[in-house]
Amino acid sequence: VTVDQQYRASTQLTEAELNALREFWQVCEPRYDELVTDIAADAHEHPELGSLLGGDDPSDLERTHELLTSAIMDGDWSPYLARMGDAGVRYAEAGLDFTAWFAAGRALRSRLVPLMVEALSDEAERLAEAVRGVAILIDLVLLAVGRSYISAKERIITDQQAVLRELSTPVLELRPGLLLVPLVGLIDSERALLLTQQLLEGVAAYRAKAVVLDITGVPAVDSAVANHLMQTVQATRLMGAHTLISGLSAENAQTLVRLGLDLGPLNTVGTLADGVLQAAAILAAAEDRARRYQAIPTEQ
Amino acid sequence: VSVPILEHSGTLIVSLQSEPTDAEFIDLEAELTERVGSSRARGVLIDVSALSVLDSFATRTLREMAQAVRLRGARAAIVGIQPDVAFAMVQLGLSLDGTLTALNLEDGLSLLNEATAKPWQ
Repeated sequence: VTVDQQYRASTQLTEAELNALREFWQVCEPRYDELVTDIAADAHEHPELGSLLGGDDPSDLERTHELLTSAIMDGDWSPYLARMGDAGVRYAEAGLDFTAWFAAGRALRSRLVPLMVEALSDEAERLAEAVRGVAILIDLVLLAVGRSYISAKERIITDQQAVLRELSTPVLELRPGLLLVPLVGLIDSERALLLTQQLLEGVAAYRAKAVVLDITGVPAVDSAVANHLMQTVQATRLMGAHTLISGLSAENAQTLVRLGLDLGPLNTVGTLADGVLQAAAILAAAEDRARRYQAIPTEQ
Repeated sequence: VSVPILEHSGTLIVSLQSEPTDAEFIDLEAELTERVGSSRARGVLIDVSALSVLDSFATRTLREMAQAVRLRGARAAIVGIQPDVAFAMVQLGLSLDGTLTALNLEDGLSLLNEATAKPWQ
């Protein structure tokens, strides 16, 4: 059962629930405008109330009234609930707290229930139905708002994760043929794979001969991270580039040694500055090699 | 062998255009090891830039070829491994230890030139 299916199922009302809502609406609708004015008094405390029954704009008020009527009388809930859902999205995007809606629901109930009691005080059964109708309406509204609030929040989180992933492995060209990858934060498998991929693309795109992978900002280097780094180094080696690891802290170095890992292929240097110097030497050697090769007369 | 072997100032150059079969790889290894002697080549360069896959058999054959060529007094270089291929190879734990690797033909030739200048090192 997906979230959407579950949502649809919980907005499917039984005949009894529909009757309860109609009972409520018979009392409420003739006094809708009066109710809205009353609620406006509460609105400074619960701004959410405004959007439940209308809005700041009179035309919004008219429209919400229509939608609510067609929802309760004809069972066409989607437009009204979609409107409430939009409010949820607005709240999520503005970073406002969702719990305010529960307070608004409570405030609305405390306005509506006395209204029902006043109109139906002689008819206990109809009163019970109408009060139940109030509860159903408020439940539905909170459900719609909550659902869009949460999905909007989730969307925001997914977007931010994508941005962070992009930022997490910047491959920078320090000078022609020399790439710098400053790593900050914890490295997990997913990030390590992304790093390797982006670095390999970078080596191809920039025709890099040397890469400095700076891990000064990586707090913990365990065997998993060391293996990932080793894979990255070997992969760049396959593409003809030399990778130097710089900034391994004393603590992490001791950990790796205690773990007994064979870090043979890992060229480590002390600081980023050392890394850049050594990388420059690798570049110079490559340039030298290319010059000497070009100097060979083709006839041998 | 279906793959042409070019000769350029003491270097044998092979450019693999499509994924060779296992049998073709073995033939190529034999042919190159032989040709190193007959044409007195000091370097062998294999360009794999057109290949989108290098499986474990191909990798092992290339590694063996490099070792055999070295025993015959020449050096081998593999050039043009694509990013995706390199990524897949390390994921599968395949390595080309002992062979020279370079980004492209030009870098490969200069690497070979350096490596063969002082073969005793």
